[in-house]
Amino acid sequence: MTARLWLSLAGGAGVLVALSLGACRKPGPDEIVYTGANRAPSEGPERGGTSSEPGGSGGTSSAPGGTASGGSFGGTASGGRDPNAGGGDTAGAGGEDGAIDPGPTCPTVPVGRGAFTKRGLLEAVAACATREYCLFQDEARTLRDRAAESLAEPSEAASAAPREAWLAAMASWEAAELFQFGPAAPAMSPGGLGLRDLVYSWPIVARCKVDEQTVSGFYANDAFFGPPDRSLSSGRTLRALEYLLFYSGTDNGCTQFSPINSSGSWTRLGADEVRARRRAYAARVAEDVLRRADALVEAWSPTGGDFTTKLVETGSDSVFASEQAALNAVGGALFYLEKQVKDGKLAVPLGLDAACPAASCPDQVEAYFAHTSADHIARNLRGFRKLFQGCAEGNAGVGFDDWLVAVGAGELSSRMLAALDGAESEAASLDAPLETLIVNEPARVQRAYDALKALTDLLKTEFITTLNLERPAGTIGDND
Amino acid sequence: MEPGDIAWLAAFRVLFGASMAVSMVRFITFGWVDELFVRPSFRFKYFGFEWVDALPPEPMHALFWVLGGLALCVAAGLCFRAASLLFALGFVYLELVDVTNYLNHYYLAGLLAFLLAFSPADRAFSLSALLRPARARSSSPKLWLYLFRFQVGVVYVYAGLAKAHADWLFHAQPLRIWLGSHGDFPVLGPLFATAWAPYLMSWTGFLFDTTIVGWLSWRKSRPFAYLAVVVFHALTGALFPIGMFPAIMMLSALVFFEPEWPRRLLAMVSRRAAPLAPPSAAELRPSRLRAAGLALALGYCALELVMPLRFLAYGGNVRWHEQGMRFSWRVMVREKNGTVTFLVKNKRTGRTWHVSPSRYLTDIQEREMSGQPDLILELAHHVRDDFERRGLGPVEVRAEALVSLNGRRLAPIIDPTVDLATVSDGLGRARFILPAPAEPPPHLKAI
Repeated sequence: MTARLWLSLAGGAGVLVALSLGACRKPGPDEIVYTGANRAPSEGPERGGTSSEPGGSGGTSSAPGGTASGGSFGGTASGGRDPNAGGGDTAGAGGEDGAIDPGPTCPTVPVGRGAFTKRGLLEAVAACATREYCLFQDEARTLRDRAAESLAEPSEAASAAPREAWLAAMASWEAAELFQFGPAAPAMSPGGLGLRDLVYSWPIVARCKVDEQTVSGFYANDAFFGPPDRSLSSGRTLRALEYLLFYSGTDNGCTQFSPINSSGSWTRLGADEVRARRRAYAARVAEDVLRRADALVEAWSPTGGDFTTKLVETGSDSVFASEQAALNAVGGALFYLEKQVKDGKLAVPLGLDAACPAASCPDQVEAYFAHTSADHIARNLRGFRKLFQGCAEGNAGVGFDDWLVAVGAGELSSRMLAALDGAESEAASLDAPLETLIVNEPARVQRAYDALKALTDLLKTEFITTLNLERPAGTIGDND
Repeated sequence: MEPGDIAWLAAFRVLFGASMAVSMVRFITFGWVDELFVRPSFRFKYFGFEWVDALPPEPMHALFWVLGGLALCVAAGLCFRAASLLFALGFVYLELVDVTNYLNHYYLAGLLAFLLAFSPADRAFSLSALLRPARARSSSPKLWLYLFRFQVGVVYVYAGLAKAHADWLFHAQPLRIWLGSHGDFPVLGPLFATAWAPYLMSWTGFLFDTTIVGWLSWRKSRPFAYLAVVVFHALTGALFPIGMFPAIMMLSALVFFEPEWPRRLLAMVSRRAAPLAPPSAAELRPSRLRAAGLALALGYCALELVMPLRFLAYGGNVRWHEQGMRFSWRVMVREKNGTVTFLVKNKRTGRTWHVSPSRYLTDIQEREMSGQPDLILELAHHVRDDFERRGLGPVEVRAEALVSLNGRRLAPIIDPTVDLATVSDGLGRARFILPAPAEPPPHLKAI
């Protein structure tokens, strides 16, 4: 065997290996589709006891039987409170009945003309996301301001303002929950910055974490605004704010073995100091939420991260290698309705999911303290409609329904819109706190679940088949 | 059983080993070891192989590195017999861990690995032959050539026959759906949006698969046929996420060339005639194992011919009920998406839960399970066992399973009245599977 022969063989083998490697397109971050479901597992609800006064939407809740915190209140608290944050900009005010009153600077979404194109859909989606985050930024600014103002006037009347601002911010955010692609998506997704989890950490629930940080005063530390490993998202975001603003009890959500109970540090604070610290903590969290909202807006802005261009201008040197990859990311975000809303917000509290050990688990609704869980679901559906049908005034504009019509699946589009109408109708009929309905009228909540399932069944089957979209995580592994 | 040039077998060994090494590297670098083998808390088992379980995370990662190393040893022809057998066993083990990881080209790779392991592929162009010249050969029994040609031919022919149905030929589905998402493909993208392109590609695929073996077998058409193989597989590899499949088929199709083709190629490259050494006296001596080898080969061929035909015993639409779907070379013949909810009812209290498969499965597993009735049944059993283990039993388990096949309207695939907790899996016809929808798939447009 001559050396030249060996070399020739090696060269030939190398050519074929190179051909093989040419087929090996590493599905790097550009091609990984956001799964939407890759979150830290829910820590489960804090055992704050059931509300004895299921008041109307937005009311505070009290928990007559909290977890053991021991002893009587007494002594003065150690540790300082964070100074009042500075006044904010003029923000768009949240309207009455939760309606969003857009600030003057939020761009409108164009209706779009001409035949459907995928690029047009991506442009419409980008415009919609930009507007949604702008609207939320306005509400977050108002929330920050109201929370800061409540520090100067610690009265029950003054506490109502930040609560109202939280409700308006949540109304805006719950629609934006459907836009978890790009900067809002986890960092491992194309263009992902993980910002959603820093705005709203649900389903992660950690009342005890908030209570512990209330005692430690970490919220007053500059490091509080640092990376999530400094202060876990469970100790901040709109989720923590709900507890801080709406829970009027002065017990805590930790077990007797938690240092704040075993050492007596919680008890030593006393009721007034607990309330004062919670107001200060809330002001800091509101400030943090606004920072994340600013980051989201900046990430989409042409002068910032310009994710609009990244979403629309696909290609080998872009975040998305192809139009289809970008549409997979956007389409995958629609599945929030299935995993998070149908399964998380309805099935678990209803007791349909075995994660609920009892016949039902009303304390596991999304917004147990604010009593707005039903409204959140309705907002989620509005967000879905914006993506699916169009984001312009009256849901005009380009949406996935137009794509279905363009490929000849108009009948499917009609069925999905009808199913969406049904789900929205059932959600709108939930006119009392969800936790109350689950106990007293579970059939009504079951109807909402069934209506939502009718929509998600179409989403998971005909919708993704017809448009050849990938389900979340669908691009992992080969196929044949 | 005359001896023929061994060069083709050595070249196949080198190329196959290299491609398997690349495959292992892909799994490691893309994070698929964790996603497909470590993360799942529940795994679907093959009938008769329920005892196969996944290794713990670190050994599982190590296994991929070891298999990559073994594949390189196969390519180099070093410690070949041990390396090739161990690789084959390890690769097949990986495939047996979870049914949802089944792919036709993984099945093919496993078969080729075993065939190679028992062949004399290391007797030429190998480190083994270099280090121990006495073992070197210039020829091998032609039986091996015919066996490899048979194996590769079976893949093509059955893949072609799997396309002989109305959805593929008369409705151009699922290609119509798949091509619709490639409007931005370089040069060809605009063509994919035309009404005729899906039909053209469907028929081209059908005719290619069913006739390519013939064209490759005929000496005059062979070079052009191989060019078609390269173009076909390169195009499908660029269009669809089928990983190493194109590379495996391109290297496998080389077995149809004359057995001395590597020598001719090297002679062309070196511009010097590479003499073929006459078979040594030892090579010409008939082996005592020839009869046994022939019998084994015939048995293997019979099995490979019969396996893909299992679906005939079940009737109906195999792409719907999936009985006889696996191990039958039905490559890329359907687009299927489903949604499954298990309705679990406590027999004593009547309490009913709606159980989402995502409670037990990864997203990838759920996607695969949702269209395969035997996996739905297996998961139903697991749900039953899980509920009873948690003290929530005894339970009945029913499935609300809806599937869309090739763009059709979604339809129930599992009889929702059947308590799957009491149904045993087996090789017989599954009565809990509902008939496929009768209407044809839609004719969607590409944009």
